[in-house]
Amino acid sequence: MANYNMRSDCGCSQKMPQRTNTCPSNMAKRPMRNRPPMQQPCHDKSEPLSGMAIAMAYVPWQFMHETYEPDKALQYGTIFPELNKPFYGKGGCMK
Amino acid sequence: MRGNQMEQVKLFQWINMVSFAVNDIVLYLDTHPTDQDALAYFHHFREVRMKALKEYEENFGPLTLDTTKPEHMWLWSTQPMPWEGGYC
Repeated sequence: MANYNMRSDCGCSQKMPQRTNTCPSNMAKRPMRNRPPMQQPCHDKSEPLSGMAIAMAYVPWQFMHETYEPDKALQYGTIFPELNKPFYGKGGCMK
Repeated sequence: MRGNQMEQVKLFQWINMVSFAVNDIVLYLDTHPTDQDALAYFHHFREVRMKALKEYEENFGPLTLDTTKPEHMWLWSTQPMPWEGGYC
């Protein structure tokens, strides 16, 4: 893979500064190993992306074209037809 | 439903629709501040919204503090509350 993150002029290749501990005392004392596993409430549901490699997210630049009439826009939750996507999730989980 | 109330509901729904249109184009303009089509859309629907809010205020009372006309009486608190069938 290209060294996309190795540019020296943007400061990206510099070492990340160390975090200072700003947690409240009760949180700082909490040992990592005793933390409960991450909740996965949707684990048993069908997961269409299961097994696929983690990737970078991207957002293509949007250009204004057609728009919905105000009644449809409110119904769909967007004025842009290209952003009217089907959402299958319900209650934080896939259906 | 009485005709007057029907008109009130219809106008209120229209205000919701055009207010949403204004809000959504504002989000687009945040990232596209020089898009002329978007600016024209914003100016158009802001005008439509203000006209609808003014019409609502004249017929049914103010929905927003910007459209109150408290010259003779303070209608904001004396018109029906949301739980009494009012909308503000």
